Amino acid sequence: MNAIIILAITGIIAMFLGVFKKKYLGLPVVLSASIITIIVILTGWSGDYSSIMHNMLLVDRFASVFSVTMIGVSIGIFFMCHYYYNQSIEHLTDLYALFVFSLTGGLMLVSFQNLVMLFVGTEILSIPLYILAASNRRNIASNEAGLKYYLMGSFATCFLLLGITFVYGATATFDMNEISILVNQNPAILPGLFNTGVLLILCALIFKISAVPFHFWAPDVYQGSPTVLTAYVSTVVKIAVFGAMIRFLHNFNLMTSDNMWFYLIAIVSVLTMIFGNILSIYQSNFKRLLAYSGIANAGFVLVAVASLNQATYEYILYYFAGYSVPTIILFTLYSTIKNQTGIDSLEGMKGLMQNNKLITLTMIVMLLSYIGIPPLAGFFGKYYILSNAVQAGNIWLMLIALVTSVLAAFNYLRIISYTVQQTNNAIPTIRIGKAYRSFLLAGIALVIIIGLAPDYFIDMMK
Amino acid sequence: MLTLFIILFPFVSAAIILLSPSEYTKKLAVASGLGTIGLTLVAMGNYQSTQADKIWELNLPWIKSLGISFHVGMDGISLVMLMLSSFVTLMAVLTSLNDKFAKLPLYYALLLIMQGAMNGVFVSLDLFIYYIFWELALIPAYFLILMWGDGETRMTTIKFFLYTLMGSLFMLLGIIWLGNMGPSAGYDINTIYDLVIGKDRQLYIFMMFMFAYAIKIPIFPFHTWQPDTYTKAPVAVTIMLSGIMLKMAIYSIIRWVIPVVPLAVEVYGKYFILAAVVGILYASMIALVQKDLKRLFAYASIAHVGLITAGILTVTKTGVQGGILQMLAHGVNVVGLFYITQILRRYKGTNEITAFGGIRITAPVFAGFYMVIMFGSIALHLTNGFPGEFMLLNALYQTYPWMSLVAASGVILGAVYMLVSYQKVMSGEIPDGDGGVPALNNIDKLVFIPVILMILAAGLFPQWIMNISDGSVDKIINLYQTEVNTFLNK
Repeated sequence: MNAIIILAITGIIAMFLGVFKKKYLGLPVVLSASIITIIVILTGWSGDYSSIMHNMLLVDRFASVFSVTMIGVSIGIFFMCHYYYNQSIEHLTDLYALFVFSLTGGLMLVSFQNLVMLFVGTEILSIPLYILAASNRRNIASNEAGLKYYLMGSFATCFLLLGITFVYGATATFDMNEISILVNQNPAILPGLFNTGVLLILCALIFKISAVPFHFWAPDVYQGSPTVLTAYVSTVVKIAVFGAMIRFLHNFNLMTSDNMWFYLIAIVSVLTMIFGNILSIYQSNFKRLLAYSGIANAGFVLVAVASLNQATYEYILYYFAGYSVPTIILFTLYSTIKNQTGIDSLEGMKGLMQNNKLITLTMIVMLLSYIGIPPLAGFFGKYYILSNAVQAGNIWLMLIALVTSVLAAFNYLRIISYTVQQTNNAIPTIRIGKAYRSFLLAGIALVIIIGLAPDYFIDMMK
Repeated sequence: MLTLFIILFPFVSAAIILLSPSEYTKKLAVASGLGTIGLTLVAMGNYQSTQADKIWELNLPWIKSLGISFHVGMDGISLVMLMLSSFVTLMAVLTSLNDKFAKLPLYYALLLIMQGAMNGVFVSLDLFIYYIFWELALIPAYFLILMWGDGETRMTTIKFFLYTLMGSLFMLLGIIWLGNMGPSAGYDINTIYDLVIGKDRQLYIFMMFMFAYAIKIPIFPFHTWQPDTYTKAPVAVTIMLSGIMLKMAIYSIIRWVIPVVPLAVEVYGKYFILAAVVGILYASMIALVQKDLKRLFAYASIAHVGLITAGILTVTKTGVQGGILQMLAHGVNVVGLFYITQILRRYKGTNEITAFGGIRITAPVFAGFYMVIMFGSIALHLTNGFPGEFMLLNALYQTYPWMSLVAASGVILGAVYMLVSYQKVMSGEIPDGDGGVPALNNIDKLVFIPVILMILAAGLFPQWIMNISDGSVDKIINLYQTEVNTFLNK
């Protein structure tokens, strides 16, 4: 709870920094606030899990580890903001503020204990994103992305609200505990309204993680928005929504056996993996390819959701930790290359290695981690999710995940093979500062460390 | 600790090469190759084949919750493979001394990283560590072919990578399944060997593992990536791929398939033998009509390893020992064969068989070397190819007589395409306007002489190699027989 308050206040402070023309303070303020928040959460780590505000929020271990991961990833995003905007724009601090507000929403979302909070969290998470998507005001694509995201997001919100209403209609309460008591006691007496409500709520959540069949907004929004936002949407937002989804399904014990919810999630997962990976084969734009691979990755994580058990959330968080680092670094590299040379296609990456060794090395390591080459972070993320599926006995789901990840590997290899090719008109040397260099090196180090010590990270969550 | 050194030595050498100035690159690479040979010899000196115990075992816990530990050690079979790996790597380094590649330090570093990863595969005693090394060996190979291969390598390498990744992922599925089968997760070799697995599950796991190996070896009909990749790769990499990397897969059948899922091997092994034997015939026939010498050798390689796989899957002592012997022989022979294509290419810029002729006249030494290597490859008596091939056919005859008939006719075809190509390239008239191939330079001799010596040594004293692996093979076959017998007695 303190964490949410601190972050909200930080957001307000960040906005006022802009008013007082103290733009340079933006990054230090949000960074120190993030670190303080992490410390606050860690100190309350094994404290009482009593719920707050009349059972509105429940800050338990689950919520804490999700919050810490999200804030950790956001720190990377803030650094990326720093490089992306390059201090040149007027309203930089406002953007920091919006990110912090959105993060606050994410924290609420993973600790919700009342369906109202689910709604409020989703909205606080999303509304800043609509603004951020359109924040490149002079760029028509950004405007389109913002509008599209907003319209589609509102649509999903309607679903969510309707679903919550239905659940309320069936159970006469918003409280998750009371609903789960009703569900577990005698599911037969619940009216069909309940299932409809759950379905609608799941639809809204599936929309937010851009899984099939609600993925249509993702490529356009990813491509049009400022790259920082793209990175944020494909990491932090997904972590938050997956947190909410697991909490929701786990609380109601909906995924215990081969019931219809299992099949719903499994089918969505399979479709998402297949669509995401197959469509990405046809992409020639770097950012759009990453967008589609983000869709496919959401499908992969849904494999774990479909095989839900007590330990699943640790695996998913580990996966996201291993997924977020490459994602942020790749988007950063993309935006740097685009800014300095104007190249944003895959073909344009030809001969990248000739003049930019570190950038190419980083890119290759990150893509190999995506492919899941041991001992990089992506491998153990994949391993945990697959072994979770095996333990749950979902071998067929795992097989599909395997086959589609070969398809995914094809896309990443396409980029890798362009970057090391010899050409006559290679990309000229891209100027990168010392700080940027260490940012990249830190990314490589993180990917390797997360990959070498999976045990350590999983134990920390317990 | 020595085992760890053998794994780490190439990696460290690679790092040193990358960090040193490029004029030392070649010397350092050769030194590293000699160093690993030295380490392997030290290990071999410490090994008593009669006891067949694992030597220099090292067991460091790594990921406790998953039961993964860094468990490595060597037994007789590993030692033979390490011997092969260090010899072939040194040869691969020597073969590229003549080349004028760009980014030389990176090239040699990747070669050595590949060797390190493959050494890791040969000594891993933990299934998970094994998988990590297995997968790691693919990355340098991919970049080597992509960056230094001939012509349009992009799609070829992607095909190669995806094909093998597909296989590996299925193996990963099998590994995860095996690891979670016991009361608690564990991947250690002893845990895995002790597992009691039902017959159906054995079949699934067998299939998952064999899918990976059939692609890597490659067994017909999973071979389609191989000719393109071998042809386009730089010669040193082709040597590494066919000399060591595919042996990784055959070694894995001995180490991780036969003792782990014996019932499945007993019941379903014959289908893979059939595929392998058909592959021998198929690849030999295609090799007959090849116009490109390197491609011909690539197909010949499919035929040879098909026989090895078939022999090993009979799980008789003759078969497995013959397979090990033949792996060694094939590894040595491909060094010579592919290096011949490199020399020819250096002078004519092509490997088209029709472009050559009469080389014997201007370069008799070269022709002599070629002949000995070819004899090794077609398994003439007193060369290294003979004892292995004899044992393999023998084992195959004892278990599936009619299959040995097919395999033997494949071997005869092998002699045909090898001799015909030799005739076309080496004898006859020198084509018009051709100065003939000049004499070999020192580096060429440095490559050929050890190869020839090895061919003769292994042909004359095969027992020496068999003694090393004897005890370990016995152990594995005993494990296999006990489990099969207990099942049959039920």
